[in-house]
Amino acid sequence: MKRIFWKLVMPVISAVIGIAAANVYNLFDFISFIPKEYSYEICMTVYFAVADVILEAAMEFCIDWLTSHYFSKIEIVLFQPNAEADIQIHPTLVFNSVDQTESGISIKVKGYKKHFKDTRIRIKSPAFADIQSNYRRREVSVIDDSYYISLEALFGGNEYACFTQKFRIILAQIPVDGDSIVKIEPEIEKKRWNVIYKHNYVQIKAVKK
Amino acid sequence: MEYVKTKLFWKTESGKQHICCVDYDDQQDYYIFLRKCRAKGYRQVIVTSEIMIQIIRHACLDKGHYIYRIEFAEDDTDLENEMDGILKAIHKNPAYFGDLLEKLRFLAEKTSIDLKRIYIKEKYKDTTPDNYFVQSNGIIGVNREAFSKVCLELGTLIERCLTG
Repeated sequence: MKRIFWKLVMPVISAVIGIAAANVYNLFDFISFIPKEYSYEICMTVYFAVADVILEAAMEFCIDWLTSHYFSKIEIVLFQPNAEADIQIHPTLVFNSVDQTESGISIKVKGYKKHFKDTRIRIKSPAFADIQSNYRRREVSVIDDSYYISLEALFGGNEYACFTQKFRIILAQIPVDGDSIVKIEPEIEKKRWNVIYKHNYVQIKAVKK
Repeated sequence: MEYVKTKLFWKTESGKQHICCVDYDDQQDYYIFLRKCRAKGYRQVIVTSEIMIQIIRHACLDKGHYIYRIEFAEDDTDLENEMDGILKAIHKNPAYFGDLLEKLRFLAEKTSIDLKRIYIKEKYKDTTPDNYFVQSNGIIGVNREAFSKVCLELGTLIERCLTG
């Protein structure tokens, strides 16, 4: 919505700046081969385009500056352990011969520790599976049907950090009466407004047992 | 070899989680058994490849036991033959234990659920030696004489691997 608003407003501002600048200083008046009666229109068109480019660059700079100073970014990707973590891909996990399946979790963070104070990632297991980590890790806890990663703990002693960390969750199937497929996605508990969060999801398929 | 079997579960009691053993009889349907345990609030323990490696280290290095068979979740004859070769080599020369750990760690880096079952035995002694297996779904089979001791040891070790 904000993007559409800016796309509509930007040309208006560019046009105003272009016209104002053309009235103040017309560069094309000094170019001899441009007829005098057309110089204003040409100047306005060129100024308009230049203003548009400058405004867009300024906007991008402002957004980058604000993002790097006041926002933190986090990207959580669930992936199959033998594959690369790719946020565009939503893998389907199936249980193996011993009713187990696993998913990798890639956590990419760029930002401030204070933005992640007391926040944790929660991955809730489907009703037909038990969830567990592959091995103990200080940042990880499994409580009942959910797997948690403390985001604050990932920063260690750093106030600002840029890192990628990988984890693994294992799921063991519980007997179900019919074939089922469930979408699992990571959520951030107590997410602050200044945390930009992107993630994918996995689908878990269970067969009747 | 006749094993007495049990399955490891997580149980939450007064806000604390701990691993407990629920006796499992081969005669009963596994899935019905699992449903009953779930209904009582138990949660399955998964013995991942990383934990299996710790069990192997503990059994071989601390207890002086030996591994005589390793089974994998997916059929892979080449891998099974290679593993059998390493296990036989360890029997002749324990220095090959390093090769076994290296191979298992390499496999665990790719997937945590590849090791399906490991069989462990105590070296010869006058009384009945401990003989047991650990399965990735948390089922443990132990010879009757060593049942309580081995279950307690493995439960404690696995809990430590998962909670520290």
